[in-house]
Amino acid sequence: MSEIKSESISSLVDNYSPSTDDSISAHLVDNMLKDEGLSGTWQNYHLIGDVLRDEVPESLQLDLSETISAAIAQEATILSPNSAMQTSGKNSQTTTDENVSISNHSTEQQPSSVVDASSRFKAKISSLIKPMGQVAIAASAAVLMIVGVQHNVAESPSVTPSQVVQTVPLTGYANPVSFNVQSSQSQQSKQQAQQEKNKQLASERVAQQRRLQALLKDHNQQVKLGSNIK
Amino acid sequence: MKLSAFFLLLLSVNVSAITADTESAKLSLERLSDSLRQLNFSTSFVVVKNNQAEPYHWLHGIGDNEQELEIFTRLNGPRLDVLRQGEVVSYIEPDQEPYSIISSDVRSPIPTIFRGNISELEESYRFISVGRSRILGRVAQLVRVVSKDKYRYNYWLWLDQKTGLMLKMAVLTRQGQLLEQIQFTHIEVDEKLSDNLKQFQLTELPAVIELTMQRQNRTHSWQVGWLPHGFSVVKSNQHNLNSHNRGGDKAVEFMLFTDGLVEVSVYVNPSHEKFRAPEYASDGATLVFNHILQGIEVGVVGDIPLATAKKIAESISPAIVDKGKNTALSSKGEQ
Repeated sequence: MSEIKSESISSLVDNYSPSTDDSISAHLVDNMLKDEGLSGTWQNYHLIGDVLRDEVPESLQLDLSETISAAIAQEATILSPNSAMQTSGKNSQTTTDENVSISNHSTEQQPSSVVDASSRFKAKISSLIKPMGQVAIAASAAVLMIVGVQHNVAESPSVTPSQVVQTVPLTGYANPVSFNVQSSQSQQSKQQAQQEKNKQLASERVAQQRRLQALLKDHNQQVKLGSNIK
Repeated sequence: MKLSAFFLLLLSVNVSAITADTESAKLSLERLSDSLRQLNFSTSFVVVKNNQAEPYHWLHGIGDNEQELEIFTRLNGPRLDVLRQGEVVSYIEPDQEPYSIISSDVRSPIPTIFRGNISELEESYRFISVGRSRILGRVAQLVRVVSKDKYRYNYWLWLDQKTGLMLKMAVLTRQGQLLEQIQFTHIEVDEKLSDNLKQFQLTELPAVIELTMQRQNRTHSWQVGWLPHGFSVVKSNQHNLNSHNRGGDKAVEFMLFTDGLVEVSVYVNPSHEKFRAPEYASDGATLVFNHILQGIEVGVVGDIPLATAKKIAESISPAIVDKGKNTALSSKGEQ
């Protein structure tokens, strides 16, 4: 459902109505305005589009709609007292008392400034929270990655022990317990033998290197002296 | 009918073109040889091999009494110098006392034959003049020294149009894989002897060591059954592989072969081991090959492909042996 919605939002962003019927898209817009998640997607799609078109402003304002709505809210709060003031002004017009109007003005100013401050605070909070939320998303993604990597890492060594575990019972089932112990000993000795073998291989490689090095060195030397005996 | 005539025509044109190329290539190489012996030059070059670059400085000049003076210096790492005053060649190497020998041969990254008689190479190599290109900011003539068989590498030389000197050299396999490269980075030809060489002329080289003819007439217990065409023995002797740490010195029977451009060393000694799988390493174009077959340890070193080294090593047989055993031995190693 939400996928369909986000798809239709995507097409809306691209200036393409998902259906020929305009009423549906209007319905969608209404839905979007109500649903925070959908408006978030709307915002994200626009951002993506901007990035793709390389139209991103230098300082990226990710919560533009938030600030706009905050500004609208601010505007609205000023408007309504203004209307009140206008009505009161109409009232005061009759009284034509300057003092009252001033006091009125001051009293009207106060709530508007309070509202203004609160909305600004909200905006600030949200502007604080938004990046934090983004950071949180990034962090959770990183955690997921780390968990995934750890899972992978944890998986690979578990393969070899399982093989070891498999091989021990295989001998154990068919043989008496004492033999099983012996077999584990033989396993140990096998491992030791393997280590010995590795060591031997390493030393063999060193010896080989030395042999080849000696030959190369002697060759170079002989070639230098070589021309003498012709 | 028409087609075959056309092909015949094409072939004849090709053949004549090739011979013309060969002629001009040979002339270029002869000019190189003359230039390397007669000019006063000061050059720098870089040897690129094993993913490493080794820079060298090379001075050459004609001193008093028409004596050739020459200095090769490796610029990176421990000092490695080759000094030459006429016939006396001195080697200053990191792990050895400096010494001099009387020789017409200077061992340096530049093959000696290129300053010698080029026609010695004609038995095993073809010369092909390919075309011009720009190397070191100069017009260069590319000459390919191509092996006539598959047992050797090919050499590409870029020669300066103006001075005849070498500007670049590459060693390639027959498949065109680059093994080693020498790129000149600076070249300067002067009428006069450079100050460095003037000074060098007055310095005394390390004492000349007398090379004893090392038991040369001794009968050899082993013989090499196969070599690529054109290789001949330079020398053979018995000596100890001194830097061999296992069980101290090991006496080996040694033979050195050359086809003019490439030297191949063959080392043979009986071993207490019966068999050891072939092992090899390469240093640029130089291959080191070693194996034990039938209780005989054979080492082959030289600027040759692995297949050639293997074939040489497998052809080693005791000097007095019937043919049957020889073939059995080589066929066993072939697999």
